Amino acid sequence: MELYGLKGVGKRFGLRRALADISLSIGDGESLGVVGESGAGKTTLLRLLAGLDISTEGRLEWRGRSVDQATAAELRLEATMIFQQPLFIRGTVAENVAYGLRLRGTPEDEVSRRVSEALVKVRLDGFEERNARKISGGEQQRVALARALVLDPKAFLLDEPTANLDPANASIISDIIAAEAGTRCIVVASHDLARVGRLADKVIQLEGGHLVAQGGLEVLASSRFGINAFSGLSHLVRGVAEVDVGGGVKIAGTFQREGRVAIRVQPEDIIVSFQHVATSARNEFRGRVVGVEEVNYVIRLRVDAGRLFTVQITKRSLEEMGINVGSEVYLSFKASSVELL
Amino acid sequence: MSWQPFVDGVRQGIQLIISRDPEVIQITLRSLETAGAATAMAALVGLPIGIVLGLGSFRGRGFLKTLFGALVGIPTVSLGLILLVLFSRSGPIGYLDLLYTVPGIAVGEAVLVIPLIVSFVASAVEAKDIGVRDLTRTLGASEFEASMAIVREAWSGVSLAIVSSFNRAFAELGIAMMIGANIAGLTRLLTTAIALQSNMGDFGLAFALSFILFAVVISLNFVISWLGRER
Repeated sequence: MELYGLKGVGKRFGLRRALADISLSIGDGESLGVVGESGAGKTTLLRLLAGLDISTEGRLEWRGRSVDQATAAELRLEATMIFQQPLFIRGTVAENVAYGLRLRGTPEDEVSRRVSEALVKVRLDGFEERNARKISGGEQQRVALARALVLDPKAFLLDEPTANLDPANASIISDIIAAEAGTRCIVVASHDLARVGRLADKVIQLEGGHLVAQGGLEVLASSRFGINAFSGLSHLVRGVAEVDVGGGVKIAGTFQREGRVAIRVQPEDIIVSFQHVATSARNEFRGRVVGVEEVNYVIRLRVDAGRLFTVQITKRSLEEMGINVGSEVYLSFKASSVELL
Repeated sequence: MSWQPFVDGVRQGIQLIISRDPEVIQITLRSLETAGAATAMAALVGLPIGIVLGLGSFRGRGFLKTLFGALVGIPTVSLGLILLVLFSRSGPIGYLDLLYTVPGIAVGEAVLVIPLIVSFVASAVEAKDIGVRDLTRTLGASEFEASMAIVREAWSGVSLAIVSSFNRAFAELGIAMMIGANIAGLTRLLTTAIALQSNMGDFGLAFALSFILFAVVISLNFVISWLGRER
């Protein structure tokens, strides 16, 4: 069943056009990832989906009904947004989590039961009486998740939910969100491609307020800012995933997933040499340098090895090795450097 | 230069307070009553205006905010003069018989502190607006519920506005002098009495009254700060 239907949706703030001509459909139980650079329009889109702002162009439908100033309140009762910076009303963790339930007139005994359940879900049982503003950033974001999940929303909208968090807390939060997948519509906006890949089964990419790509995980792989990101079919060979990314290139990774996947290798994880070198690295490809550019005091080489790779080396390496456009080189990287998106 | 007048004044002041001098008690209670009534009247008018200015987005909002901000600094003597003309028997509201009365002083002080309440409340509410409004609305609050939540969250700013207004009214001299005329037993307040006793060279009573003025202002601030603290 379609929950959201966007037809040429746009949003202007005065003269500035933050979002333009977005058309897409999001179904019940579907997980949508929204990727894009800062200022691409991710937050604006989420705010429209949450009913916090109203589109100025096109038509946004929720359950087949157009969302406008008059109907946005109904949407907000079923769609809850998590903000990048968790916000709290004055009071304890329990008071914050109970806030939405009390607005809905839920009986107090039920409020108490549901608050406890929500806190268990985000692994914060026992935090009920703590001051919500005086717990750590990771704990605050988990309270924000509990406060939204306790309302059992049909749509759960997350704006960079793991930004500025340490890896441990980010991982807990991703687990909590992943556990909700399939039970409700989830829209997650992030810069973190790996995280979006893990949480979403459909991805859209925004650029300057425009929707530039939408589809499966391959969108991540083909996205302009997904350097060294590829999609392909993976199959496991003796415990190592082998992903055929086309162009005669098969990339080995340590993840244990078969089927269609999107993967990425960081440019700084790739070693360049002029000859084949016997190492433990599972991936080695021969290619030709097709581009050399300096980015923030380091050198980025573009190497065509059947698929185009971006490799990062120092200026000194470039000078000492005498690499130039047209040079024949070997690229090698470990299977454990391959990130599953 | 001798410190003796200060020392004598402090000693006499302490004695007057310990002995619960009837005149001192009467003047103190009258001052509290006047400042309290002035703050209540100002809050009644200023809080809604401040909240609307803080929450709203309408034409002329910026102008009104600037205007109230400017009025915070109005010289009390000038305001006292204007009110004196308005309250005088031949003035436009002379029929209210407010001149040389405690209610008259309270009204004058209320007029003085309304801009202060409006400015403080508008700023406090505005500062909380975007975040709290988004948060409460996404949790299902109506526009009215969201606005009420913002005002609740801005409580420390609102309480600061009210306390500051009370302090200003309590320590006000110009209007009290011009509207009340410092009539003994009728309109004499702490500030007007301090001014009078100082002019007469009676530093003891002036100091005693000053201590009470300080004590009330400081105690009130501590109480409000304790009430508004984040638990």
